[in-house]
Amino acid sequence: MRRFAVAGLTVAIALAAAALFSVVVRRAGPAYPELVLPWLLLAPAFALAEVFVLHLPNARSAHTVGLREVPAVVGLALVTPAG
Amino acid sequence: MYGLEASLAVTVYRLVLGDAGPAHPRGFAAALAAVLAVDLVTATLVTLVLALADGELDADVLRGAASGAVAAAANACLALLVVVVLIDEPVALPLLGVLLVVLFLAYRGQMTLTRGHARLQVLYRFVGSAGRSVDLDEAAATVLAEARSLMRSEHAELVVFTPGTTGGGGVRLVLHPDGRVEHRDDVRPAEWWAPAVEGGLLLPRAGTGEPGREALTAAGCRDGVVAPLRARDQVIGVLAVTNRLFELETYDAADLTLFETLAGHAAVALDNARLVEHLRRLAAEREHQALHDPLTGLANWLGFQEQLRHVLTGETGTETAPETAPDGERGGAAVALLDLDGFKEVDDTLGHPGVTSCCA
Repeated sequence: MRRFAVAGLTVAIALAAAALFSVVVRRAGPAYPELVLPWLLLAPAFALAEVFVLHLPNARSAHTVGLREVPAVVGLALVTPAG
Repeated sequence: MYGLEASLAVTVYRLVLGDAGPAHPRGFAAALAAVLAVDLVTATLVTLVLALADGELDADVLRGAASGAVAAAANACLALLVVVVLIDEPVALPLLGVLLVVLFLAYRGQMTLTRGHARLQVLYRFVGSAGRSVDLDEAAATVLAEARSLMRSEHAELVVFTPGTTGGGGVRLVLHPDGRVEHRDDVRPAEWWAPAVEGGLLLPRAGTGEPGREALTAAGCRDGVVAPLRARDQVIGVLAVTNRLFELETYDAADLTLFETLAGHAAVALDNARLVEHLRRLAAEREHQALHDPLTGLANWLGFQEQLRHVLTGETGTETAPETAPDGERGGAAVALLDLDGFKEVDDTLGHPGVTSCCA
């Protein structure tokens, strides 16, 4: 039963992502047409942000602190969403 | 999940941004709103998945997201600076790059300091709790529980060697994940912790070929750290923990240093408890010797008086206390004086051993 619930939630997440993509993201142009960065430029920045992270461990898990938001915000502002 | 995060971020960003540009204050608000919305939705969904999988709600993830939101907002501000520089003065970008690197190093430095401080707190807590008990079993259980908790491990094990040996015999106490302390006497010299008799031993997850590694793997453990317990210039046992709870992390040299210090305090606490137990046993033996005849083991005159007093006054705490009836009434007591006719002949014929067995 739990497995079905998790699978159901996964499907719901995928559907929500697909809906947002087709309704908003696919149709969105560049936020700042005067300067548009190629998305490939952000890929290494994301890779670096994911590699250089710091773990703050607690009992069984850890909080991860990194700079992931930096390429994300640059991407939001200067990359055309659907490529 | 990543698809939803990206799509949600773009949706929120575009909704708040409207017709303004990314370097406009409205663009700042849009970026912050997008980052915080993604953080919140991600934490909620992760909490939901865990709740569905485990059947119980773990609010820690949501609490973690709340504290992480502050760092995310700070990072978003930094990113907005990058955006503004890219739009207005791209040549100044390397300066911001330097700032980013310094910020990361500062994060790391602060983290190292925080960990160092946490280790010190751990040590204070351990010293405070381990030295509190003078009962050997209780002291051992406290040492195990504290060591496991402080080293964030799945198992903790305490091996106390038989005096005069270093690993060939003794008692082994294992603290299981469910909090149960198991007493075992299968202490063998070929255990994974055996090399630690010579000094602390660190077996991280990625290591290979260290002494004890094969035995550790055979025992079904991923990683472990063990330190000898030294008291009065002797190794009296070892303290070990295995399986770091957070699987992306393993024990390192700093953990070994901390654990050796903990083991030093644990050894003192255990040795004190052993001494107290030894003194208690010695006191009990002395009391027994004072009240009993060494030849026959029977109560001497003093012991007889003592027992008689207990019986007549009804004081408890003695093996000869009068029986108590179910209705609470104490039973009576009687003293019988026996004059054994001809016992001198037994003494003369059989000597002390015969008289002893006869009396006993």
